Amino acid sequence: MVNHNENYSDLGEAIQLAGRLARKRVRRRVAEGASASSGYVSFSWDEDPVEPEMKLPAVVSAPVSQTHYPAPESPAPAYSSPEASPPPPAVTKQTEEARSFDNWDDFLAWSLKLTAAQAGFVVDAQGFVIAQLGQIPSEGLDGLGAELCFSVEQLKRVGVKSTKLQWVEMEYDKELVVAMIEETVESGDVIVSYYCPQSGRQLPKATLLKSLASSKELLM
Amino acid sequence: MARAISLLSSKGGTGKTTTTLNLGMSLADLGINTCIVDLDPMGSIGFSLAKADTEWQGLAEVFLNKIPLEEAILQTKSSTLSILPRGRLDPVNVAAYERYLFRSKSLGALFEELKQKYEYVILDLPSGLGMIPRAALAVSDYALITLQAEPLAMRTLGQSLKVVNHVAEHENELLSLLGILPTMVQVEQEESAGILKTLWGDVDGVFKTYIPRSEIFIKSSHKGVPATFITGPNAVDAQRYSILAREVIQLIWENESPEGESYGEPQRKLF
Repeated sequence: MVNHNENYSDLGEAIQLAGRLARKRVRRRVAEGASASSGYVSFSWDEDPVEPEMKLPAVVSAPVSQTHYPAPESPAPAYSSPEASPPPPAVTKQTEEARSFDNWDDFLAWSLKLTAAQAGFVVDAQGFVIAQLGQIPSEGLDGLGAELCFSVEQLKRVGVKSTKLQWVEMEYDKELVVAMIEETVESGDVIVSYYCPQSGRQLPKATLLKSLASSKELLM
Repeated sequence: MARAISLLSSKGGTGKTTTTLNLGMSLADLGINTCIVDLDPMGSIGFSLAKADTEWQGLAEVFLNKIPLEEAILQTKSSTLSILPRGRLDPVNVAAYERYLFRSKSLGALFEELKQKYEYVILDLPSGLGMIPRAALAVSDYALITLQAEPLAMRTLGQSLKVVNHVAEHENELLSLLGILPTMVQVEQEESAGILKTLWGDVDGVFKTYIPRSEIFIKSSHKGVPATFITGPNAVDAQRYSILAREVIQLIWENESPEGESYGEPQRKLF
C-alpha cells in the first residue's frame, strides 16, 4: 500500500499557504463611483507600452444578488400522496410479469408492491430526486440523490471493464437500501432505490429491470 | 458587477482550458451571464474549439486598438456565454505580448469593462507563473488552481499557492483563493487516489468536486465543444462541471455574504 501521507517536497508549505489563503475572507464593497478607464494603450510590440493613468480596480463586486442566489424555499413538494402509498404486501410476488409504464408514480406504486419496500425514489443523472413514493424518511431526501449518483459512478470504476453495474445494496444498521441502475443513452443513469425490509437478493430483480428498461417514456 | 476568476497552474496540462470552457458553459447553463477570456498566448480556447489560429480577432486586436472590445467578443449559441479570444497574435510576438500585459495596466481596465457586462469572467491563463498569470491575478477577484492528481503536479502546488499568496498580500488585496480543483483524477489508481485523499485530508481550500480522467473530456477537446455537447447534459462525467459551477457560486456567496447568512439553491419543482 502506498502511504497516502507521503511527504511531497513542499507539501508542508502548500498546506500552510492554503490554510492562510482559505482563511482570508475578503469583504467586498459596493462600487462607489468606480468607473472603468476608457480606451486602451497604443500598443507596440517593439516598445514599452505607454502607461495610461489607470488604477488597478480599486473596488470590485457588489454583494451577491438574491436574484442569483435565492434563499432556500420551502421543502420540495411531496411527489407522493397519502392515498398513493401502498401498504407493503405480506408476500413478494416473485412471479409478477414485467410491465411497462409511462409515469414514475405508477412504476413506483407497482414496484413497491412487488418488492414489499416501504418507500422508493428515483434519481436522475443530475442527482435530482425526480419521484418518490411511500414512507420517505422524515429527514427527507435532500442531497441524497447527488450522493447516490457519485457513489454509483465510483462503484462503476470498481467493476471489471465490460461489466455493467445494475444493482447496489446498502445495508445500514437500521435500514436496507437497494438501488437499481439503468443506463440510458440520452439521459445517463437513472437510479431507482428502495427502502427494503428484505435483502436485494430476494427481490424480483429481472422483472424490475425488464420493466424499467421497457418503460421508454420514463427513460427519455 | 461581476467576478473575475483566474484559472492557473504552475504545471502544464492540468486541465485549465478544459475547466475554463466547461465551467463557463455550466455557469451559462445556469442562466448566469458569463464571458470566457483567452489570456493564453497560445490561444488554447481557440484551439480547443477547433478554430484555426488566425480565424478569430480578439484581445490582441483590442489592445492594439484595431477593433473595439464589442467587436472582439464572440456570442456563442448560448445566449449567456460569450468568448473573448486571444486574437491573431503572431507567435513570434508572444514574448512582447506577455511583456505588454505585465507592464501596462490595460488588463485591469479591460476587466472592469467586461465586469460591467458579465456576471462571471473566467480567465484561461497560460501554464506557469510568469508575466501573464501575475498580471491576471493582480486584477482578478478569485484564483482557481487546477491540480492534476499525480505526484509531479502535487509537488508544484506550493509554487502556485505562493504566487497567489504573494499577489494577495502585495498587489491585489481583493484577491481570494477560490479553491484547488483536483483534475484528471483516477480513483482506481493508487497514487492518484492517494493524492486526492491527501488534498482533502490535509489541504484547506480544496473543492469537494473533482474532475476525473475521462474519455469524455478527450473527445470534447477533439471535437472542440464542451463535454456536455458530446454526451448530453445528463452524463455523469459531464455533470462534474455543472456541480463545480454550483460549488463555485456557493463559495463566492459564502465569501461575500454577511456572516450568518446561509446559502441555498432554488428547489427544483416537478409542477
